[in-house]
Amino acid sequence: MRWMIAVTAVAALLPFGLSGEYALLVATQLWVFYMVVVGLNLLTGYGGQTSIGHGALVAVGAYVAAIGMVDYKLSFWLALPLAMLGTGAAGALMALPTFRLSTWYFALITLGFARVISGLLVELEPITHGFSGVIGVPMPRVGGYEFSGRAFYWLVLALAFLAYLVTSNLIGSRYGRALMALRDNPLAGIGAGISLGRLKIMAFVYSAALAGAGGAMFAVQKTVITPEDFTTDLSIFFLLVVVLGGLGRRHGPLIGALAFFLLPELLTDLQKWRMLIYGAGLLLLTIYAPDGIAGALEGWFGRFRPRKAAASAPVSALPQLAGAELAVAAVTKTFGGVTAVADLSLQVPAGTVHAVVGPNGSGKTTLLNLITGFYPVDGGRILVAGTDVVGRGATAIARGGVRRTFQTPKLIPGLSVIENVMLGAFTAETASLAEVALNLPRARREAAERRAEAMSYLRFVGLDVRADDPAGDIPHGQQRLIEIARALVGRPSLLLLDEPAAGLSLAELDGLCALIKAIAALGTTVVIVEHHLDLVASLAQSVTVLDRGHLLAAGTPEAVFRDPGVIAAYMGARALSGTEASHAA
Amino acid sequence: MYLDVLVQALTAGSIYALVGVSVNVIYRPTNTFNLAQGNLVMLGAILCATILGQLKLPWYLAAGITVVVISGIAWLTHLVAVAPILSRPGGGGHGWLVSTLAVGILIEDAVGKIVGPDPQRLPPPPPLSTELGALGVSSYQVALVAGVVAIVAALEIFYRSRTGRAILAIAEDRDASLLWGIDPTRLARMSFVLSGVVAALAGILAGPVFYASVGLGGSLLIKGFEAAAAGGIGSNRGVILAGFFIALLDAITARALAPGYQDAVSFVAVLLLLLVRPQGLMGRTNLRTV
Repeated sequence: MRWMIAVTAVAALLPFGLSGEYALLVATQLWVFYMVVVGLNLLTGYGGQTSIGHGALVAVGAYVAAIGMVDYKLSFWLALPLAMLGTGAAGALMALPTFRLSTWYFALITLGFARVISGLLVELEPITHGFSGVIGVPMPRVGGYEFSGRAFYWLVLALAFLAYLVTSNLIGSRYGRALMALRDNPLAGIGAGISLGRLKIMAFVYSAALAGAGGAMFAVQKTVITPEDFTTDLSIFFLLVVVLGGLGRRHGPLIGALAFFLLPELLTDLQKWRMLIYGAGLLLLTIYAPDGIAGALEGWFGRFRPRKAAASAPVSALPQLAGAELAVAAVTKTFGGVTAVADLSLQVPAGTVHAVVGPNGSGKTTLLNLITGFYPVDGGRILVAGTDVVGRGATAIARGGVRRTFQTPKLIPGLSVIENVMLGAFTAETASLAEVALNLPRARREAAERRAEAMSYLRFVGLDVRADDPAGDIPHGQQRLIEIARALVGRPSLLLLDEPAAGLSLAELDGLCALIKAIAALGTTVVIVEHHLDLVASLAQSVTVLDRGHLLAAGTPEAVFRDPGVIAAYMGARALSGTEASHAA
Repeated sequence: MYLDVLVQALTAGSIYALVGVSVNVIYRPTNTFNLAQGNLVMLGAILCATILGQLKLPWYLAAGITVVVISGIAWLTHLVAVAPILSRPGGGGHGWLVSTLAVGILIEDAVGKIVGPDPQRLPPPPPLSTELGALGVSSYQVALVAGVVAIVAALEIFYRSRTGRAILAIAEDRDASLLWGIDPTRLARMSFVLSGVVAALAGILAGPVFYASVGLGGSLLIKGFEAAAAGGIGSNRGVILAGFFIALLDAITARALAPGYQDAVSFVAVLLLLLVRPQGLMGRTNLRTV
């Protein structure tokens, strides 16, 4: 923030130092392109959705504004929002099909879109004027005053700063955290009840709207726009700037844009080799410096910066949770020809701890994935607090208060520990997108409340001292505790833990046991999938034993662990007959 | 009148399908997509035309050299631009999208600088000809469709072999196949080379019917992707079907509206299909994610 204000202040004084119109033109263009790159960084850097067609969105914005102002005599102040609306709509149409698809589809769809647009700019001649383009785009006016030269530069600069500010607010908010989950660990996002499809569309519409605004400015600045202005090179240029500056770094777009524009001489001399330089630059950066200049700077300066002392954020008292009853009735799941769970039923009364045990491959984790909606159920019913959740989808089930942890912890390495926990409270926030984008009082108050809440759950699991460390630096055993805190912050009525004790030391195991008891004391229903029978015996009120997808035994831990069938499944039938034989002898 | 639309669709559709199949070859073991694929096809067509035109070598020798060179570039692409990213902890995100895009840019720009923007003519292999015969079909077009079917059939037979099944096993479960002693990196490298072979063949086959020019790469990448996505990633039969549908739609659009609209119409059609059926015509949904 401080940096951006300083740079903007210097940039605002720049026109007084620059001689000649050409320098002012280049400086104006820098801030036009900066605006576009800021949006691309949110989408590609933070959200991980690579757009290879951003130049085409700029083209749509430029043409909407230019046609509006030239052919329909609209004022700039109407043409600008129209351009943003137009590109936003184009963005939504493009992102809609990728709702449920893998990320790389999106990249190719943006590429295809760019080709289609560059064809249509020529083909739709009655509207776009074909090869000759739109000529004579007027400068913005207020009354009799015309924004030209320096005044237009300052207007562009102001809008670029505004774009930075709003984007910055979004990135620091729950939306920014959710975007990084989408990029680094989508399952963590789904488990927190975040609708990733909607998030993708939102990010793309936002970044398209910024590209549209950039396009409108571009049209005004150039006064003439032709299809030639929007070749594939432009899209590649935007991508290169954001990769060079640093993907997913707040100041990446600024650094990238400055680096590019401070070397204008180089680019004019080597114009012929431009694409070769772009290609080589993109390749080398992605392989050797995927975090760009900003990432490298962070690496150098980070070493000298003292580690932040643990935050002294206020801590709020933990609320009691209302446990929900879980009833699984005759549930079946097959993968191809393999039956993973067969006609399984179990009952977990509200507010109790239930354990699911069984050898590897017995269907424990599959059962957990069925309850949480990560796998669709082939047959049977699953009732949470009396409501059938079958077919509702993982996101909706998580929103309904069913939270889980994963066998291998799924954290967002680029976020701090506390931000990872806050991800779990995504659905609890009520401040609207606009309030968050403008950082209005309600959004700020709510953010502070969420942080305090996350802090109190971190203290609950004993990790409050590491709240501000990057989650990627945390050892495996503690990552699991962060995941538990993330699940708890969502105020679950049913909490499912997938092998929480795997790989823990004996001392950590005692801590985990005490923690799960404390969680149960909060009131939520706990289902734990676990191998560690001692842990199960000391925690669970009831146990279900699975073997190859079938129910082997159910009841209290004492009764179940004495069951010969269970012993046979766990120790192997031969071990059992061996003991009997030695008894007989 | 309608027949030539159909013939055109069959010709272009087999090329789209072949590019889509070359996409599948890489996607199966690596879950990646080589964005340089279109430019490899383009380079295949231009290289073969250049060898024939400049060195006057026999047709089949020129085609053989082209296949070797293109698959070598595909191997290099994997070595330089894909393997280093996939070996990062966490798979390096989607960095391969940008790095393979960069390789594509480098190929396209280098070809543009060396060969120039003029389209090259690649003659059909003797004794075939592109002269339209009876029914408005040339002997080359018949051979082209048959050739594409043969290539895909050969690939399907390959996937039944021991190595082929190992590649499909990685696609199913990378960790489990490691336990079975399958080396995913080796098979990924092999798949890149194989997809280079298919891309080169696609280029050589496309040369006599399309003009071999620098711009061909970008358009074939999109058509190949559309065929692969609409057919269902991983399913070669679906890709062939989708390739023909897209080409048919293109031919109809060109006839009914104008050739300039054909990219837009097929693009929108594929988007609509993906909206209704994300897994494509014949793809299957992959469930085991957790």
